[in-house]
Amino acid sequence: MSGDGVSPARPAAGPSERRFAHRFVRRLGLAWTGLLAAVLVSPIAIACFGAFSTSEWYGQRSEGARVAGTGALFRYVFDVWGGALLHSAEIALVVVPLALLIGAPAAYAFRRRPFPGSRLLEAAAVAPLSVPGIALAVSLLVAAGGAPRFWLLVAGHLAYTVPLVVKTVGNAAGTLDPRLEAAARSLGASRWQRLRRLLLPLLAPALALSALLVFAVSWGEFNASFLLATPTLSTFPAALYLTYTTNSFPVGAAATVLFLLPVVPAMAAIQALGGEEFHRGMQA
Amino acid sequence: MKVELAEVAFRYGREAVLREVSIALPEGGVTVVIGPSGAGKSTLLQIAAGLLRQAAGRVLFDGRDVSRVPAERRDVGMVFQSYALFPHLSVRGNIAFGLRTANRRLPPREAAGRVEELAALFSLTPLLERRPGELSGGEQQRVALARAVAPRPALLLLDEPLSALDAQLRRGVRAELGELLRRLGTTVLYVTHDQEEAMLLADHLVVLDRGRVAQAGPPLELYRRPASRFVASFLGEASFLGARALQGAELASAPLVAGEASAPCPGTPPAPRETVCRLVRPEDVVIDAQGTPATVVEARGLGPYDRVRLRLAGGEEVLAHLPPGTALPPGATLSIALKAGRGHWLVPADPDP
Repeated sequence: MSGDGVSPARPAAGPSERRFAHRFVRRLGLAWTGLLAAVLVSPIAIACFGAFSTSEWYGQRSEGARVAGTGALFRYVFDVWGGALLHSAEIALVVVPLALLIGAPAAYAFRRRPFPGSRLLEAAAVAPLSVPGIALAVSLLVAAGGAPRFWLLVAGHLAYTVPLVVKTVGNAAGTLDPRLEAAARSLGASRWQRLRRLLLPLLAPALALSALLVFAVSWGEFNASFLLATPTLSTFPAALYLTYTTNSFPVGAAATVLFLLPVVPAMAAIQALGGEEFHRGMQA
Repeated sequence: MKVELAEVAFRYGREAVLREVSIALPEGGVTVVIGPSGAGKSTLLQIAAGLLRQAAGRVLFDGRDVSRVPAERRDVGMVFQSYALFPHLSVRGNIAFGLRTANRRLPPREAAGRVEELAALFSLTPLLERRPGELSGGEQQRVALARAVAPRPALLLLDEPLSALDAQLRRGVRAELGELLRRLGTTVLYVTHDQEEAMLLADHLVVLDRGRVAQAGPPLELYRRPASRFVASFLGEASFLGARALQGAELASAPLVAGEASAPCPGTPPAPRETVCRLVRPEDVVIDAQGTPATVVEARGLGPYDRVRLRLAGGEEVLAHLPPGTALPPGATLSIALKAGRGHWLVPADPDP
């Protein structure tokens, strides 16, 4: 018997066992990711297939012979839902700059110039994310039902997008060294020059990222928009819903492809920017 | 420019960070403020820069009260502790930043010339297109200094500019920095907690302790004749011998100076019962056959000198730096004396409660 009393009765998990466990977890993760990707990608794949291979094979409904061929199919979708597409684009075009103008200064103030109650305000700014779209739409209608419907839609979209800006820009502003601003001040830079030459360039990746997020969310927003939409002022996702319930499969598929057209590059850009932001955050 | 801080006070919440601090900076000279962490050094610097507003007191530039002038219009350059270089700009962009602002707008050609001039002065020419992230600590420090002095500020503030460098680099940069500051000829306020740095760079030294000026003056004066035990020990190694006041304003301690039984009190005589002590700097102790006997407690050779702890007959300990090779085993006896004119009396022993 050795006197030190530490001789192990049984060797602990060896490196080979640990490697096995590690490999198992990684495979599980890969399988799950693969499954998710399949579930998410397969409708897109089916939509593309449906939109670009309009055979007579598909049951034809009211559209009849008008949707024979891909070109005719897309022309038909434009004829019927072009207005909704345009409205969605208009709304997104207004919502993106407005959300940035409201969210970015607020985020900066919450992080860099905290005041009594600023944490509560920040929480309140993010709260709409947890309000169901229907409830938000109803409350907007009750509060300002007489307002032009376009601006009600914009207000609904802002409620869901400003929180994204507050979070994204707030995180980036929180990692900035406050001495950078002090240095710029001591070098004689006015408030406006500090904004233009220091804050905007340093926060540019976060601003671009939040602009893309706002666009993606506004473009795809369905719940609130569906309730706020009128027969003459509908958004594209609301229109998509109607095509799914009333039109034939090729028409729905073609509309889906049109919907995805701007979303895919936006998502790719978000991924690229988000990765860089994340990387920078880790280095700081 | 003549700069003066007059009875400046600052509090953070309920805690007083600075209490009626008054400092007059010699024009074109380097004033070093030294003190332990939490003494209020950085706060003082930020008040001088205009980045913080003092609760009371005035900041005077050439006699003009600039307390209400914001930082961006104060004409002050600042080097921050970790440099705070703009990460999105090249070295050139960083140095040029202060040349095209609301406060000072140089024509582009003149600004470019100024950048080249500073790059040459600070040996940054080959690095002008690099980003701060690609520079070493010493290079970043030079960029920070070049950026701060580019707009020719009337006052240059430096907040522990060498503390981010490793010890070996700091030694080299320190000497270089002293030379540069003197060559610039700007009025400089320099904050540090490193006494060697302070002694090396200062024309005027201010010791700050818990938000108060403990003492101010020429660095050697403060080293030789500190006003308190705090200042004495902060600026170097020190032993303190108990002393007492005799009749007729004479002071006496353990007899370390040959033939000196007592000495006349410098300044106001101590009040009855007030404690008095005597400062002994280790380099002022010499071996002297006519001196006082002392026993070696501990000795260690440090290269340039031997650091020896000695015990006097009365039991008091004295630290001595003796010539290398004199280190003796513990228990050995020596005969020591104080160099003539040394052995500063502290009356009272510690004015700080």
